[in-house]
Amino acid sequence: MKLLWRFYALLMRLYPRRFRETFAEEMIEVFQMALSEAAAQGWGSVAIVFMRELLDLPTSIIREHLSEQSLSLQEETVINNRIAFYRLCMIASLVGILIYVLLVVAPFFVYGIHQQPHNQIIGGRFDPKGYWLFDYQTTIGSFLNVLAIMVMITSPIWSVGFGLIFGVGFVRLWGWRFTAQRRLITLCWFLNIAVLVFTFTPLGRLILTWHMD
Amino acid sequence: MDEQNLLPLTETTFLILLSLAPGPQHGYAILKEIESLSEGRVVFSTGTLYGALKRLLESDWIERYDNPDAVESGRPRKEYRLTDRGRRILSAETRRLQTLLGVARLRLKEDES
Repeated sequence: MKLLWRFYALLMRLYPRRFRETFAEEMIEVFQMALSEAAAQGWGSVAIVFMRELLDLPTSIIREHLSEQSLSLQEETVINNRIAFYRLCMIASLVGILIYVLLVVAPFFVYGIHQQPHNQIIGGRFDPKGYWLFDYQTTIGSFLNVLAIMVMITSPIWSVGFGLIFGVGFVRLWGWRFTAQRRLITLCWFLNIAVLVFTFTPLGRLILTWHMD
Repeated sequence: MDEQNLLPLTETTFLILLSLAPGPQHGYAILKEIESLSEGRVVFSTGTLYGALKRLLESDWIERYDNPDAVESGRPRKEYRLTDRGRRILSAETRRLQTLLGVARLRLKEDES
């Protein structure tokens, strides 16, 4: 019997620290009482009590961990609401910019450098904008180039928008908790859509394709 | 907050509050009381019980205190009791169930006649 409640006491360590510190001793005492009472009715009852506790333990432990996370989230929200939000925005924007640099700017420049004669790069006449990712002599090539430019122009906004979403998600503060956060993400999406629409206007098209001629 | 907004209660919450209605109880007594109230239908594990107690404490529906008259392992035993808020919520839920039961009985009588 002692072995059973010692095992149970050991399993208590799987609960979150705060929960364990508050309730573990009591839970062990209650478990001991339940075992003692069951022992009076025979080993079958002891087995039932033990199995009931054991089977319920994983659900209970997971529930308490989730609840603990949500509690610390609420505390953080209440205490550092504004500071946490601005800190998150900054981190998320930096993540967005980093993604943009890594996925768009760096490959574009690398491609430009790859296309440029070595002596021109050394001579300081490197212009990556003059080199297209696709062959624009064909219709598909032209279309892909326009598409690539559109992606390049709009990708900072996408990146920051997604960076904001993922950044916020990564630090477990996702869930539309702040009105300002909601506004900022809405603004990102709005700007993105506005830029996309602009690329289809005559002026937008002119800007996009001015040096294709 | 209006108690009506917190209703209906889950069976677990209702049974715990109900077990504390006559007076303070310690953890094991709550377990036994719930088993008895539900005529053996509901048997909580300690994990479920203390998880629910924790949430009720956080919501300020019950409170936990040391009972100096009951010493266990050299320490005053921890007991739980209803707060005024908890009692109001329990009363509101009981009234809600009573109304529902009244309507159900009436409907069944109508069907029988």
